[in-house]
Amino acid sequence: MLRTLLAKDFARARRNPLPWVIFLLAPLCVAGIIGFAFGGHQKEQKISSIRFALVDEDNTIVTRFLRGGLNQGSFGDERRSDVPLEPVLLERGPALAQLNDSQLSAVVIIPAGFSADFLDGKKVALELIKNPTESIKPTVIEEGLGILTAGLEGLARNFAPELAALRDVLDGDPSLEQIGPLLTQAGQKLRSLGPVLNPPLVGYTKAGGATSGNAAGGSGFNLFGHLLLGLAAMFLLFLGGLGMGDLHREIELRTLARYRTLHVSLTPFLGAKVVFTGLMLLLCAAIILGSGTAAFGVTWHRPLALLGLAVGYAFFVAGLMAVIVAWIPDQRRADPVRSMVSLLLGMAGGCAFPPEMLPPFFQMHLMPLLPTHWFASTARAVEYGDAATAWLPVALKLALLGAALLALAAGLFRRHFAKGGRA
Amino acid sequence: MTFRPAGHDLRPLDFVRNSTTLPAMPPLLQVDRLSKAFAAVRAVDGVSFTVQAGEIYGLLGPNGAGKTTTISMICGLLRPDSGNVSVCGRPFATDPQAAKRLMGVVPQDLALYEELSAAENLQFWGRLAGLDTKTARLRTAELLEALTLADRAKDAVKTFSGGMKRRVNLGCALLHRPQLLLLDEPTVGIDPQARLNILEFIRGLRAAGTAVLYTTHYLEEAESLCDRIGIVDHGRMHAEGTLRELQERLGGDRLFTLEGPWAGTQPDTWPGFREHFRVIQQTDRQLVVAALGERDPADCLRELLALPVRTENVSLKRPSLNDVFLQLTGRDLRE
Repeated sequence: MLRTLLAKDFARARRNPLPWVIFLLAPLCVAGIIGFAFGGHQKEQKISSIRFALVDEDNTIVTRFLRGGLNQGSFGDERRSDVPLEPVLLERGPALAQLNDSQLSAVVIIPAGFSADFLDGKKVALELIKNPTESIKPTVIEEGLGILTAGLEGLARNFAPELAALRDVLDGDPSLEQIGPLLTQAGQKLRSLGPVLNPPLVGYTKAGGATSGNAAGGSGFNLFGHLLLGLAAMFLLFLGGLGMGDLHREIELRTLARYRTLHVSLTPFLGAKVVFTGLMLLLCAAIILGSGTAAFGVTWHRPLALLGLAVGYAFFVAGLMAVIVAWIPDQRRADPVRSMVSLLLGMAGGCAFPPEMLPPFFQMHLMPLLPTHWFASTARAVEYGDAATAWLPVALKLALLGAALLALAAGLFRRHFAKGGRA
Repeated sequence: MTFRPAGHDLRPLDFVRNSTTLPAMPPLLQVDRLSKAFAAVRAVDGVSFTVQAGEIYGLLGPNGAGKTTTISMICGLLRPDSGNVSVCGRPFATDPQAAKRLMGVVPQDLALYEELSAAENLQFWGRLAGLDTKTARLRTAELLEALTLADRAKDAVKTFSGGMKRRVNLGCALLHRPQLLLLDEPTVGIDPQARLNILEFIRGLRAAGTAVLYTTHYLEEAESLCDRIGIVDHGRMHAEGTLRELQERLGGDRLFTLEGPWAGTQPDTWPGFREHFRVIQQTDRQLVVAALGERDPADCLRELLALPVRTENVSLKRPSLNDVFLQLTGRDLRE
């Protein structure tokens, strides 16, 4: 019987696919628009290379040494940071012109006399001009410059005698005989500092267990994928409403009443509708996430975990929507309630935007109670956070909640019919 | 028509009708003092009747009379406040599933999946009624043929006319060949030709031994189709019997329509009127009266013309169901 009922529902959906298509397109369009706005079309969401100019107005052996280091073609490839720097050496005029054309994110100027003053132990300053039309990339350069100046500051304070001697050597005709003792002296100082500096006593690790590595799960962050998981959670609620809301149509068409005149119980009818909705939700989830891959190059690193979560979530959605139908058998009254519930659960569950944007009260007290948050946060953690995130308990919790809601819906239906309500 | 109801092979029509020497069979459907109220409204109030195999029993009444509520209680959609329903002699309440196996219900509204074809609809309901795929397919073909829908079997129901949808709606209740068919106004909103087709089909079911409970507010349908008729209004059964029996309640074949200025008049005060006639309906221009007792129509006509009032015209007619309804309820069913 279940097969007959399912075949009927699938045949009806196949003959009239428009509502399903509309609800399927919605999350893709929304996520697509947001994703494109933030550059989500790139395969993995990373900051593109930061092009900045280095203007050396000092032009000493020290700055030439620095320039040479920056000018290495392999600089970007060998960096340990994820930030791809693309320095270019220019004169002040052309550098500022390119900055005005937004070809550069920033210009760093080493002023004339910088080396001499630095080696003399005088106060020196590098000049930074940021591109006002950009926000993130110039800030990255500024932060980098901050690290560099802190390093130079440490050097100036700890190696003042050596630097003064070095200046004298550089002022004359430098020879290895003069430089050698200086290097030896500096080396001895560094060695004595060694036990103090190494190993570092204070460090940090990336939140989400970066130690587990990328291969096992949580991988390169992808904004579009991150958004799509949340939006999928929200729109699966709407799709679930469409699936279980078909019970309203069965009531309206009087087919449920006709069914109740047969010698069979109501359970298979409701069960078939739940299975139909669940299967449709899984199919839709696959289409939504698959479209993310096909259209925007999102890579899902742990499909099994996502499938498990989706199964549990589909149960929950079917149960929730069944309760709404059983509670409000009149479709015209139920539709706005269903939409509001879906929207509220989606929004408050942090599906439509990053949960951190919600007020602290929501984050601390409300979100942990919402199944939408259980699904979205776990799916996001599985994909972009800690690979060791335990998804199975969450999937089971969702499925159990769904089963409880279905039992409640069945009870409400029985009470409704016993009271002589319209079937 | 090749379609036969369940049990045809085991209990053919002739057996049912000629088995007078065998112990009396219980009626296929027995409704006993059925009542149902919705808040303060008594939708059905102590309705009783029986339907035998091979009989069409008509429940005639206007909209809101309680016909659909009665059928809903018989088929288990509503729980009666009081009263009993028995199917084949067994109380419905003790084993609803067994009773439902013997029933086919045709709801007043079209309970069909419009996206599916006629054949898919029929097969679906047949499968749910317990038929295997092969049997359901076979009977679907038979039924579509009998309902003259075979050429549109694969078309979506949403493309059908109202009459065709009604026929599919009827067919969906017949796949499992029920012994008792409950038809709730199956011809509402369709053209006369489609109505005649459906009525003819139902006569065929009766001929094959199916017991039919047929609700309608169309007088002509009740008169031409039903073996016995129950007249209901405001939830109460006012009278029941064959058409002849109901007509005789009004004086058999004699109903006289008197035309004249009857506004404000009180016929019962006319000398000799009350002893021989009773008023069925009175309007400003028309007075419908029934003759009391077994008397010759010509004598009745002479008596009417002898009344001390100015009558412009007198005509004789056979009482219709509407006249019966009018006399029982005080209002015209056609209103």
